[in-house]
Amino acid sequence: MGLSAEDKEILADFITEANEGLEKAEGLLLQLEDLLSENRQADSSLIDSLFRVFHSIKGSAGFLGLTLVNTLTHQAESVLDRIRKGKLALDKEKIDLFFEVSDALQIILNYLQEHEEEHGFQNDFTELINRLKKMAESDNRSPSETPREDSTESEQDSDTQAQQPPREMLITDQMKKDFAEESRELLDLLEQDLMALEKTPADVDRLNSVFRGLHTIKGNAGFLGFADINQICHKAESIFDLARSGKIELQERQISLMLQIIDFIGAALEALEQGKPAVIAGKNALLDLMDDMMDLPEKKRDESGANETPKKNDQKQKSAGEKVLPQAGTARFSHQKLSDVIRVDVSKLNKLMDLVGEIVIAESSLLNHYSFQQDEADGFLKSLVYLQKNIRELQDLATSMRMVPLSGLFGKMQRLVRDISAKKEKEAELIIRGGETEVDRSVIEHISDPLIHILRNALDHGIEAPEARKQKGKPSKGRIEIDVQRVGGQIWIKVKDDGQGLNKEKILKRAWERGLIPNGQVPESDQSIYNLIFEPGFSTADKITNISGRGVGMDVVQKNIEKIRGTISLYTVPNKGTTIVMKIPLTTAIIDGMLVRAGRSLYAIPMLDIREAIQTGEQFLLELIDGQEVIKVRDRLIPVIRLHRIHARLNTGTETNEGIVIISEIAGKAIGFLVDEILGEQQLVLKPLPKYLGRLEGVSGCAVLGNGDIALILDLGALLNYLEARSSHSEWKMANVEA
Amino acid sequence: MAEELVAQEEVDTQKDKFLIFHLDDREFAFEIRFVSEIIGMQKITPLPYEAEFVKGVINLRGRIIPVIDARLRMGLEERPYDERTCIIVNQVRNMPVGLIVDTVSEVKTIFPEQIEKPPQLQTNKQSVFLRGLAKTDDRVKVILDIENLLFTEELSRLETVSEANKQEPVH
Repeated sequence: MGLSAEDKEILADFITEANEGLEKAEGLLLQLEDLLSENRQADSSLIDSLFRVFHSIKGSAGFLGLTLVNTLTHQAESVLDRIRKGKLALDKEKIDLFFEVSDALQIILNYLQEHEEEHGFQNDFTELINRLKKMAESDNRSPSETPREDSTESEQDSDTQAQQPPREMLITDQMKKDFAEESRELLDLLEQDLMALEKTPADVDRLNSVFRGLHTIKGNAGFLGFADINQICHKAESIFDLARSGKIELQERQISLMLQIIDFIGAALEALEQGKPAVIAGKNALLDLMDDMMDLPEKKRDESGANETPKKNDQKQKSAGEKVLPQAGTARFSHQKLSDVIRVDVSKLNKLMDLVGEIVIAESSLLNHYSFQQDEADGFLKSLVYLQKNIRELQDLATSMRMVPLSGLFGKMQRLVRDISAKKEKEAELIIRGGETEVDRSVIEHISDPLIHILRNALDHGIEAPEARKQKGKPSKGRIEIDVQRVGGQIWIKVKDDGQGLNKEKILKRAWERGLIPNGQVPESDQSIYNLIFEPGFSTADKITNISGRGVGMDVVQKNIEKIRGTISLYTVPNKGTTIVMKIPLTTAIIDGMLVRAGRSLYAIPMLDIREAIQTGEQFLLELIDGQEVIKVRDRLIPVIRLHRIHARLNTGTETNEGIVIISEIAGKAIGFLVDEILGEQQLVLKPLPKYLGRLEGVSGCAVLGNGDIALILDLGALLNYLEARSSHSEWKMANVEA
Repeated sequence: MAEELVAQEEVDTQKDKFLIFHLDDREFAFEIRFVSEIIGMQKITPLPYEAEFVKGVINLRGRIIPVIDARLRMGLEERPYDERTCIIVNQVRNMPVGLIVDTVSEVKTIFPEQIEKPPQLQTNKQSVFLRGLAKTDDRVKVILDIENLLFTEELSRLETVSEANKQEPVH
């Protein structure tokens, strides 16, 4: 297809929107399913919302020329239309069918994401489409009543033919060009009028002016045989005719929709100017949308119902009657007033974040400047403190702009749980608390897979089959709870199931088999046994199922979480269930770090990881027989690592025992790091290590300090894993010395 | 279009232009199109990589750039840096890499016909860096393959190690 940059952008927008739409559709379907399973009347507002989701996707897909998406959504919409008109009953079969449609769309969207066009797409959804068609046609009370969209479409097709001018040859390129030029000027005027109408929707003069403008374009387009433009203008004109005679009342939302329609016409004109046919690809969808506007008063009732469903509380304040697709995340779908929400390219946000990072660096370099260390700099310092405050605010703002609520991600999880429990013949419900918590976009990307894996594990290994559950005196339906809390600069995501818990014996057996621990050896604490599942190469399933145990184990989950400087821990009680807690920093770009020196090297340790720092002399460090040093803190023995030795190549100099031990807690273990001195706490902008050099174990990146020096930012979790892997079991005993 | 033209022109003006640098009294040259800038010695933050020639990173106007020592890379013995020591910042395979050399002398035009194949008498691990020999101004210049110099052998091994670490076990 060879897309222009602009088209690519439109396509990308479409994919984002459609994904959001599908997420929402799944949410709605799940709600409908719940209602159905409780034998309650399906909420018509839910069906309406679902209809609108498919409708919007259909519209955009039509515009983009995505035939398959268009057909699928069109058929789904037809079925839904019949349902909402009471001609078909909603049952399990149909809900499943809609899920299938949603899946199919997802597959196509993924394909689009990669290939930027539908062409070459392999999957065949003909069967699905036929089933939808059959569904839409079944239970026909009167044979003449075909679904609404079909009839309009066929009408339009005949229209198109009728309006084809008999002698196209008479129309010269110059005429086309003139038309395009003239119409564009008219569109500009229309746009101005419409924008004015947004503020004063009842301004009759303006309405008249819009009507006239559309009328002129329509006339010319008709004469020249541009059927698409003609039809669109005709329909739009009718709306304004109704509006100016007071039969319908336009609202801001409708006017902004009209503005978009004008854009479509503009695009068609542009194509015309470039010698391409003046087609409006999403014509039918646009006509549909405008049809909806024509019977506004009737719509109002439907919509007001839609806004009452529990999921959409956030939209409640919006007046009823607006064509709103609820949920904050889909705000862009709704034709919202431009000033409320604008769309920004993520790369711009990233750039902003980078810039803020640079400002933070510049700030600390200013603060460290020698001239400020003198007394007369007092006035300077005051304004600097003010600047600092502003920078901090700017930083918070920039960070918050990249924040998105977790609810979108959790929506997918609902679906996942539904599908897996169906497949495994288990019953489970997923309860989510705190889904409104916002995290950085990049964090979402990184926790999506781990979360899926954890849920799969919970369903596959945790939750027992209904019979087994009954025997244990548990309700047959399992419960998985996701709890999200914001704690300081972290979010804690707790996934708790009420299944059978981890099986200690099985884990041990597997660990011996795989050589994760020496055969026959049993770790001191139960917790250490459970933690073995985080070891690479561990998989608890007796046989590999198609759900979990497909090679990616908990070690991958842990790695993913560590990549974003998070930690993961696990608690399990036999027959009561397993809880997995992920602690993840809210943002990944700027961190609070403690700057330390070890030998010649500067390191930064994330403040979140630090529990305390202890000044030490020789007498405090004890050496165990195996060479492991420990420090005694309030009757606890904590192993100590000399930071100097980690990257020994750098620090071949002498070592002293005088220094500071920084105590941190990683994955539930306390551990101390001996450093020479603490240089202070600082805001650090995390920069990746140069790609050229590859990864450095235990280091998550580096940071440029105020004086231009570069410090390595330590990732204590990864560092510990690295050290444990590096030294054999006998040398390195990290088993909790604390007791 | 316009950009392509400019780029094309740039390629043309850089054609056959080589940057000459010195290690001890030997002259080396490589194509100038890889060079983004030449700077004096900077404060280097050492990094604990295995490869000895990886000296660490420098902070170049907020960008963190890895630097490698050309002497060590080519099997010569280390020499203390002085005021004539330079870092040639290259852009190779879309990554900035600094190359520490004794000194940089000039930019010269060397035509392909002036370049002779290196004698293949002896191959050692440094051979892959050599692209040929050129005799200009009565002096022999060793033409280097900068991509190989920066990317082969130890470094690629280093890369694969970290790649391997990243790969998830599949079973």
